[in-house]
Amino acid sequence: MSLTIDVDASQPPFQRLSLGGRLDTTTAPALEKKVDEVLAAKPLAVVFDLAALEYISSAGLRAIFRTQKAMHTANGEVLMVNMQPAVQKVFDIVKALPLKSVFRSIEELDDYLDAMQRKAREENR
Amino acid sequence: MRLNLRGKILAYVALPVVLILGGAELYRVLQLYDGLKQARIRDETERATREASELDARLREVARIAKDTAMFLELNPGIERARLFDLVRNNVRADPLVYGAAIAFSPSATPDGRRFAPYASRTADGGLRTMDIGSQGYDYTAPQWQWWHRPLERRGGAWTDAYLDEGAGNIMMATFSAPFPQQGVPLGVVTVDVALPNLRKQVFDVEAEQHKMFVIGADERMVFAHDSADIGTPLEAIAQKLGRPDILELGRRMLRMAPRGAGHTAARGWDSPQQEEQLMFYAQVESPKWVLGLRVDESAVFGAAHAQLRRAAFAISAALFVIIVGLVSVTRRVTEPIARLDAAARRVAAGDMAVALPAEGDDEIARLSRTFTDMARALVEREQALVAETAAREKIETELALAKELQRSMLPPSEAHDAAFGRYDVAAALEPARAVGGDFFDYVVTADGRLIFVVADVSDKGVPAALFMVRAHTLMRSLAPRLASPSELLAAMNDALCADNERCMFVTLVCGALELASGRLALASAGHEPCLRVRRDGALVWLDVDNGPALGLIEATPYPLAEHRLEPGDALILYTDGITEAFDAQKRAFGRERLEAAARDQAQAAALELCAGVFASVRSFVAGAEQSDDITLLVVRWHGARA
Repeated sequence: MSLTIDVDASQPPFQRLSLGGRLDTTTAPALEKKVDEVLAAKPLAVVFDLAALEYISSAGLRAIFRTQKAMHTANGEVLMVNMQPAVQKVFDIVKALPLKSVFRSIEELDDYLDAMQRKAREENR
Repeated sequence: MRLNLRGKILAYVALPVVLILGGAELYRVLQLYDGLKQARIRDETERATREASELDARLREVARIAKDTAMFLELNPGIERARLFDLVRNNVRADPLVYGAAIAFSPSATPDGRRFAPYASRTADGGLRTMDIGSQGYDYTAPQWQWWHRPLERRGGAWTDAYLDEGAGNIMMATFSAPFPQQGVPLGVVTVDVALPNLRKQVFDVEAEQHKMFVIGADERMVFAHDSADIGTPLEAIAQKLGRPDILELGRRMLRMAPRGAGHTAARGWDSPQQEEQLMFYAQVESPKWVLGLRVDESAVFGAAHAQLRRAAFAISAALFVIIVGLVSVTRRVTEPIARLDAAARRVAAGDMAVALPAEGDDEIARLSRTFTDMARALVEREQALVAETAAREKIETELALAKELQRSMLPPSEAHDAAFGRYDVAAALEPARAVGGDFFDYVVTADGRLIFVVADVSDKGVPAALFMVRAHTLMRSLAPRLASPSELLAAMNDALCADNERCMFVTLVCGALELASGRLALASAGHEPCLRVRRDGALVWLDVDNGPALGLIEATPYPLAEHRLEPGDALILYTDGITEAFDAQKRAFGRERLEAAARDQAQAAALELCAGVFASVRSFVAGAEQSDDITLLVVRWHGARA
């Protein structure tokens, strides 16, 4: 089974990537390529919606961390939502994910993003 | 029968055409030949008919002389005897065909009651002599003399059969005699003789060498024959003389058939040494009821037809030969390129790619030839590309094999034990998913009596993982002896690995330090799988470690230290997720439960057996499914301070 990636750029400062299937050695390069395209838009945050992601390997983790690192450098954030238990476990083992970047539901995530936008507007004022 | 393409064209197209054409032509010629033969037979039959009617006409002329005289005598009964001699002389002179003439009286009709028959005949010197044959003892009323009896019996003129005239001239002759009556009573007969040998010059002026003429009388005697000696001879005698009974049969058949019309029959000839087959054309000579025959060699009759047949046969053969030669050469022209293609295809199949087929024109075969040549060329190119590709791949594989060997040589032996005191033994197994991998293990005994051991798993697999593994392993080797605890080692490694790590490669790693004298164990983990403690009695304990993040991701992170105390005989199993996430063909993972079961089975075994047992369990679970990740297993067993 392969990886599916759906990019949603309807809310400009944010880029949502919905992942499905398996993110492993063979599919990770495709995600990295897609992420590079997304980063070119200089978003405030990149959101990974992992609702349909069934499996993630260390190669997949690396692709996520790489995105995170790039966003940190640009003062942005990588946020994750709808993480399935099997995937959650892998992230837990590696323990390299800041707790505040993982959301249990879309509502929580949207609240956070609203707050983030307000904050950005205030800074720009 | 197996035919090649050309053979098939010839057999299924050319042969039927030749046969039909040849057959039709042959039929036409045979029809023509048959027509010619029929025409020739008609010609010859007509000739025989003509000859027969000419002979008949002459004989009628001769007979007319006798009939006229008989009429005269009937009208002039009292004629003087001397006048009668004049009459017979005149009768001989009347026609060159007449040899002799007579007026024979019945003895009962003469005044003296004696035979009286004035007779005139030709002499050898061309003159005439006259006599009374009745007075010379010639009893013409004797039964053998047909010329006397036949007209009287028939009450009209009649021809005799051929007979030998012994009285006058000793010559074979036939006589016509006409009766002359007086008041209904026949007084005598008037005769005219025809010397049969004279017929040749008198009638048959046309007789040619090829047309042997003969005439058969009703008494089956030869009235006329090509050979004068045979004239008057019975057919039976001739047949006997020649030893050919069929000649008699032949004559009889002609006598039987002729009254119904002219015709022909066939027989083997008898007067030439070859005895060639002859055709006999016959026709009735009406007045004397003779049969006239013409014997002609078959070759003479049909010679022209035969010649024409031969010419036609030659023409047909020549035409067919030309057609066949044409077809053969045309089929060769058509099939030769196919044969060349066939040969070329065989050569290509045998591995000889250097084929170039001549292809003139733009028909299907020429296009096929060009395509084939192009195909062979493409095949050569493809093969060369394949060879080059294979060479390149072999080079990479060789390099990978060398790299694998090198990587393996960086790791300590897969089995070790405490030779001096027997306090521990160690066993390890490592199986990369690809030629090289990112897993590694290590162990070392420090100067202060600690066994430090490590199992690590670099993110991803293959060459990138291997390169990062070398970096991490080298780092660990250089740092481990100098640092007091696993926490410090992990923190130091993490800081070093975070630097210059754009691709976010990371390592999960678990490190233990076992005081060999006391069994005190210090553990630290960077995002790695937990360790399993296997007690001698088979009890299993997952050792709690407060995990830090994987190495290489987050700088300046502390790694908590967990402390445990081992009982003598306890074993520790450290592994990478290649073990728990080994998938079988149904994509089921090996999991911790199966690991526990495998460990329990070998709870009391030496480190080597325990390691091998777990590894074999994983192997049999996977059972040939593709290995998805590097697999590493390290087993440490502590036997106590002193074994």
